[in-house]
Amino acid sequence: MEENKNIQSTESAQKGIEVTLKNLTKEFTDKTGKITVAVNDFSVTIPAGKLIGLLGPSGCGKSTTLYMIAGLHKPTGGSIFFDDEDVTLLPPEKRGIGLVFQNYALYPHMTVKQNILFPLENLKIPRAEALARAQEMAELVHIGELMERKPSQLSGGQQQRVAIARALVKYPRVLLLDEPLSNLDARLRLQTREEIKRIQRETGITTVFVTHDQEEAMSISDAIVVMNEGIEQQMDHPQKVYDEPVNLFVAKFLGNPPINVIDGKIQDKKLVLSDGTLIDDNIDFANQEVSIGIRPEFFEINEKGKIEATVELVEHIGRDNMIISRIKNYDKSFRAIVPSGLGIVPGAKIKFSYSKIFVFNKETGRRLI
Amino acid sequence: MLEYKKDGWKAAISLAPAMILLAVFTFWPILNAFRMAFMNDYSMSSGKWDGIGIRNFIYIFKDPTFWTALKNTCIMVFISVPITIILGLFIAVGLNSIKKLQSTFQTIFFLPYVTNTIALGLVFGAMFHQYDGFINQLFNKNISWIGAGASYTNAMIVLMIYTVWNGLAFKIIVFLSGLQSIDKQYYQAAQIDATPRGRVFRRITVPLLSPMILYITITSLIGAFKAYSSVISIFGTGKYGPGSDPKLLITIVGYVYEKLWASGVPLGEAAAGSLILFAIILAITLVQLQVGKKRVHY
Repeated sequence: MEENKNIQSTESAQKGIEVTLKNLTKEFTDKTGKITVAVNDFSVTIPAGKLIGLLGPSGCGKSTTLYMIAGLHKPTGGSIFFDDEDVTLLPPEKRGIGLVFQNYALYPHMTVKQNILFPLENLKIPRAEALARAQEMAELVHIGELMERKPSQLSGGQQQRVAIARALVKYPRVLLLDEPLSNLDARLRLQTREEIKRIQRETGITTVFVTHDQEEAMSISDAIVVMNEGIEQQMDHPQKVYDEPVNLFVAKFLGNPPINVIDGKIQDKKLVLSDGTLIDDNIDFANQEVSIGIRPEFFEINEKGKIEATVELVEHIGRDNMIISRIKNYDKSFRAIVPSGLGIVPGAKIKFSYSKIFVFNKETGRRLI
Repeated sequence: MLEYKKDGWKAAISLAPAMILLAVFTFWPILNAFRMAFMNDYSMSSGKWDGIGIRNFIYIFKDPTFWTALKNTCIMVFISVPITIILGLFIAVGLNSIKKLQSTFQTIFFLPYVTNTIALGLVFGAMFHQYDGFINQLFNKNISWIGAGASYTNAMIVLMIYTVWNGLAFKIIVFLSGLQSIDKQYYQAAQIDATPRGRVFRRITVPLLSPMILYITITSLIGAFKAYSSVISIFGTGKYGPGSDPKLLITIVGYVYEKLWASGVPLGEAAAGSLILFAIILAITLVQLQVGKKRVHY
């Protein structure tokens, strides 16, 4: 009977559950009575067994959202469902979640083994089984041989793994990670994000992680949710969000080097730059001021190109060159990535065409094209 | 490094005033006490002594008052110190967990620390007065706590309560600052794992507070071994017990102090007494540090 129950809980962990946030809102009131809306009417459905990245600039409400899923923050409005169960009012300990804190929060006075065993002590699991489970989790995150060490004797990456093992050992329904890679150095970050992906795949547990690093979110997520000022901007497969941003914020937030944004307008179905350069003469939108977005890699140097610019700087970034150039009558310079070996030097006048552009309404930021 | 070496004389000048004062008022008296303790029948007025030996120690060990003082001191140390530490820890944890009125309570608990020890003793004297004391009135009793005919137990209970109350404030403040420096995320992590309060306290709070607990234990034990002013502030100047038995609760420091003023008694005995106290404190502190190495998590 006892064994049966455990097998079941393992299986349900492997299937993962669906997490639904409905109109989730969190307002903080400070001492003077001023209300700050950290999360505003946030609704997403996180599919079962997927790895989801919550992405946004700092202060956008992504960590608050994570802590609301965990139950450490109480929402001021809206509800949270794990599958069909409404957990909005459940305290964190009754939700069956595992949380990995940004600084890992490993108990410094306990060994790795004691840290991983700690959640099981409260579940009154027999010692032998608890030890077996701790060992299983340690093997999963590849720290099996470090069980007797103290957290202070581990590297940042190893501490991270211990924290994940501790979060997973009680077979939670959802795994939550708060800025999981921000405390690691660049090389370890690359390695650890693949580890997180692997662990998530192997356990099949629904996983939500928070990050401000777009590259990190794009590289491992099954889907990303872009947030800004407490409001969900877009949720989709990372490549889809990159290729088809719904608004100027998302377009600017994703991509490194960032997208170039140039002012322009739509007039009589023609898209023109502010200086009058005609970009496109078949636009089916009403007259309006627009922002034109072109990703650096969408530029092509082309004698017939419509955009004329003066090269200011050429950066060699390995396979390609990054050209920083300026369109006449514009203050801002823009970046274009072109193959190296074209012999472009600063001061040269060149013409660009583009393979793809985005056009946004200048006021609302909503994407038109 | 070289620059520091060149400026060595500057450091010496800066340190000199403190070093001279320490030498005159601390180092020399300590050495002198050590010397006097082993000078037989030393007399300060004549400046003569009768050879080097351990006669002072033999006198003391034959003196029943010394054993009374040792017993009283040990009872105070080993009962009042644990009570103060445990009570202080619980009050600090309690204070740390409330949000409203926290600073108000903090002030209340810190009041004894800024109150004069003697004044506090007078208040205790008044509270435990046999006829018009608050305590007897409250329980409608007629017990002689610290007045004439007070029993050893009664007098000791009052002294204990006074010592605990007097020492509590500082311990609460130290523990509270220790608690506030513990990362909240440890508690959040424990909460997510449904850890009951008792286990959170035992497995997380106490270990993370252990450096503070060791520090407080060592300083409190040293302080308690040096108990003196607490006794006289309750019973009055020069008295270590109720009028009927003025040596009832004498402590080791009280014993040493009495030796200094008793006529005709060599100074050496007082020096020997203080040396014995020093040895006891040293031994107990070393044991604690040894235990601390194993049990304290830095």
